[in-house]
Amino acid sequence: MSTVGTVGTAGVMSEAPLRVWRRGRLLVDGAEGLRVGPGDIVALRGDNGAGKSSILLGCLGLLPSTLTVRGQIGYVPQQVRSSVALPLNLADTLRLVGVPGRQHEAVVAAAALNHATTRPWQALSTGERMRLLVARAIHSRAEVLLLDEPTASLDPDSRQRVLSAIAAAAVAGAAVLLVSHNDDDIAALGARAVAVVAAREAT
Amino acid sequence: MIEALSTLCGQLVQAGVLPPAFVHLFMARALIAAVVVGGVFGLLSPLVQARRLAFFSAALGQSAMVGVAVGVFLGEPIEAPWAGLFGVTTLSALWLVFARRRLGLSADTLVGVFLAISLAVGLTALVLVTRRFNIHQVEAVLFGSPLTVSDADLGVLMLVSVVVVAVVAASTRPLLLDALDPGLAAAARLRTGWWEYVFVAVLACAVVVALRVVGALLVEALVVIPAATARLLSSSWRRVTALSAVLGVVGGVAGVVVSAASLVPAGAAIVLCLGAAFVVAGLWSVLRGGRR
Repeated sequence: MSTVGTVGTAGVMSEAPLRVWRRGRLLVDGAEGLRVGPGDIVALRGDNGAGKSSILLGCLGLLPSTLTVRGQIGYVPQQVRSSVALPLNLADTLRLVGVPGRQHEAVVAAAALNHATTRPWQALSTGERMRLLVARAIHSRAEVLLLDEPTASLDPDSRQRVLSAIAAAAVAGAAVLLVSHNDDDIAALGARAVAVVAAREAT
Repeated sequence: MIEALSTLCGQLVQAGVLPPAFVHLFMARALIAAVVVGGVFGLLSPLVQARRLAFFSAALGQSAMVGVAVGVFLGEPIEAPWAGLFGVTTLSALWLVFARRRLGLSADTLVGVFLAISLAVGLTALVLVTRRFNIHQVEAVLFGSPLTVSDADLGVLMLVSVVVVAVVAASTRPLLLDALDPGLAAAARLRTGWWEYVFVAVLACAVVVALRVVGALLVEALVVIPAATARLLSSSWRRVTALSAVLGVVGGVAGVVVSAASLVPAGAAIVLCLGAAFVVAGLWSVLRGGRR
């Protein structure tokens, strides 16, 4: 782990060592801490199962960790469930994630999904769902953006649009912590890369 | 209100709209009970399915037998052991959620174990407490009947239905967002764990009052069929919820009318009417071109 940057009123912070547990088992045991301040973009890198997504879940309070987050959070998961047991259309989903009705049009336009407003959530492709959640997270002017592989399922145009939106959010003062396997994305964002190693390998 | 509804039913009987049995006052009570239970479960049904709690609801119905035994043991009358029923069923619901969260077992496995054990424990406890095997009491819990609903039962039913409406209104967003992705709910700082406990406690209370109307064996149908039918007709959460509630009410009324006009027990008739609506909606959905 590397420790760079400063945390003002909003951001993500963990003193060293950065640790995340699941059911009492140590998943992540970084020698150093983690700081993501306003305007910072930090990319978590590492092998599958290293604990990158677990660090985001630790930020959200879903796993016990040494991480603390200050400020309003915009989160984009790696995959969003799509089930026939959840009868949701796009507008229902926006309402659920807290977008007021008067802002639906702007978020849908930012996600380039104007053609899909009445489509069921499960009928949207993985990339379309991801575009919508990224657009919503950024449009909500969240102070802390936690993004789990936000460009993994996107076509080149959508990827470029999402990267531009993330960079703009950081310029506007958001603290961005993202998981990425894509070196081009990390370079395009000018992100600071932090290597994550699973606890069993680290110790 | 019951008298007024009974008078209206009498007029409709004279006009040939309703079967002759509706001249009796108990039929007006049965209608009200079926409407309220149908509406309450129609409202609960989409959330129950979104949270995958249908099997869980069936288990709660069967745990009611333990509730009857506990109520009788505590000195309650065997025909209305409300404290035992509400207490045991609610505690069972809370324990099941706690155990699932702590043990990491799949909900299906845990509920499956609980379902079998609770009925066996209930029958054993009832025999031990009453010192005899009363098959009519067992039948009443397993099959229920809106025709035997009393004014006191209706009062409890109304009270529970008000609580259900309030809890469904407050818990829909946290529970649904958590079902979509727990991280999204956590980012919105919604207390999903707390709401899950509140929701299952209220679901348990609704199951208890439904025992009077459809019984423990058929209560699962009430929580599954309305939303499943509505889901075939719409893909919008609001429409599915509204349709599900309407279907629950219509199924309840239709079931009581069918029961009065035939020898079919009322609980079974309600479930059959809901089932018929599901089949029709399924055919309609297929004719319209498949999955929405």
